[in-house]
Amino acid sequence: MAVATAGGGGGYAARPSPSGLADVIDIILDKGLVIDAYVRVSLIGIEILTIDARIVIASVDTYLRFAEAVNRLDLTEADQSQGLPELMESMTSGGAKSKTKGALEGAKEKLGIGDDDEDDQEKEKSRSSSRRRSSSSSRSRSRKSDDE
Amino acid sequence: MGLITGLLTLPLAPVRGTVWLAERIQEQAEAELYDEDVIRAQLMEIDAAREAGEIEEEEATQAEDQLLERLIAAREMGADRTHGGIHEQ
Amino acid sequence: MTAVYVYGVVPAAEKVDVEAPGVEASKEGVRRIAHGELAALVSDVEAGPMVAARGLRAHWRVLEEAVATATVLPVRFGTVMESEDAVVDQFLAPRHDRLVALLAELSGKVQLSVKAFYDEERLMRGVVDESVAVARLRERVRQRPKAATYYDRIQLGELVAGEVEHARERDGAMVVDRLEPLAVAARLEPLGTPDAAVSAAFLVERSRVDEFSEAVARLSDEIKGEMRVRYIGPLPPYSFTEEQEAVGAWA
Repeated sequence: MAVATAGGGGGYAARPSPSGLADVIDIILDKGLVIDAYVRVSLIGIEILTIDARIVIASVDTYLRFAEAVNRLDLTEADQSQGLPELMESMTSGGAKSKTKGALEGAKEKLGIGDDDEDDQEKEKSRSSSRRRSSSSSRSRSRKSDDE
Repeated sequence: MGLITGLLTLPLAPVRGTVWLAERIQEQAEAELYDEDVIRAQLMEIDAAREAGEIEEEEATQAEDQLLERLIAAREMGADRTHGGIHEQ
Repeated sequence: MTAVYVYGVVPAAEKVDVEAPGVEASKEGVRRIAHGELAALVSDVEAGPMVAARGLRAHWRVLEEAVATATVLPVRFGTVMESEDAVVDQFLAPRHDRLVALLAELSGKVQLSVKAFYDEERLMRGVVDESVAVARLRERVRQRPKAATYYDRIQLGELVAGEVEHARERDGAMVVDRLEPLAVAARLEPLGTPDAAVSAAFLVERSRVDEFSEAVARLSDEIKGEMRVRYIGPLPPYSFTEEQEAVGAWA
């Protein structure tokens, strides 16, 4: 992953790196002055517009993720993350698989979704989902919006 | 592999019905697509690859566009997700 | 039917010339609307939907360019107002004095972000070594068939998550302690990915950026086995733009 290490030593001052979009996406979306004006950000993705489900990911998913990570220690990881070409392909084709390199794997495959039939049933019980209509363009809103 | 094969070998699947199954698959797929942590990590991947010269600018931009759309959609859906693991600092 | 997209606010006295085209191609590009001691950075847009991803990049480029030389209060992405008059009447005028005060506080300073990410293996190793409960439960989980350990794994994950949280608190405090002395202010931000260790924003005098960078370099070196550091800037002072009384916002 990106390593903008400051390579210290010998009085050489490492400069801050120019920011990639990933670095600043959160502050761009979350912060900044709010004007009570019409905020219009609508999306072009076709698939997105048809999804109006509100999906609640139970915290169990995160815990399973951590359990998997600690279990992975000392085991040979045959299934390391996808190489970048595969990653690109799975993303641009809108595939459901999403893997990330290194670090703690977020991918649900790692939780053994495919293998753990029981997991799915258990999760189904603990997950709640509700349907709601959402318009794609919106008036000014705060980040965590309550049901209107 | 993974998600679909796994679910289809569920011995109970026929009892629940294919509609239920399709919905579960759909939900899981959506959950993953709109998992903000995952999207953020993928965006970082693209930046890294771009910086290392591993991918073309156009590829990077396209992939980024998709991810950004999904990130914004995910936020709009107001999904209650843990942020980077557990607590916000 | 045109409307006005707003990027941010700068002091009227600061001559900011932004070359970036803005969120939509327009004749005048990015320009200023002045009122009193303030000037809003804006550009003309067609009223109607905007392509989010493209807009985001363009929005950021404008701000990135502005902050290179000016003090700029960033405005939330996607803010569109009806007209120039609206920008003055509904934004600059009613909030004039507070924004002027905020700009004065931030004058000559930039935001620098220091983020750290864990090496997963090192982190997990540390957790197992330091927590008997984790080590035991992990053993238990490994010895039983996966199908039987769903709830155990959740509990294991919960324990691990708790340990990771402690590590984050400790490491976050460490980073802030080390770097805050060289900054005007420091904030810890929400983490964005499971492998994130620290996300800290620092408000630093432009004249002290080099000194600050050196400190970041030293810190990076020290922790490089456990964490990798991503150091970016200069950024508009997003984390220090509080919509509250400007005085003592970060005293």
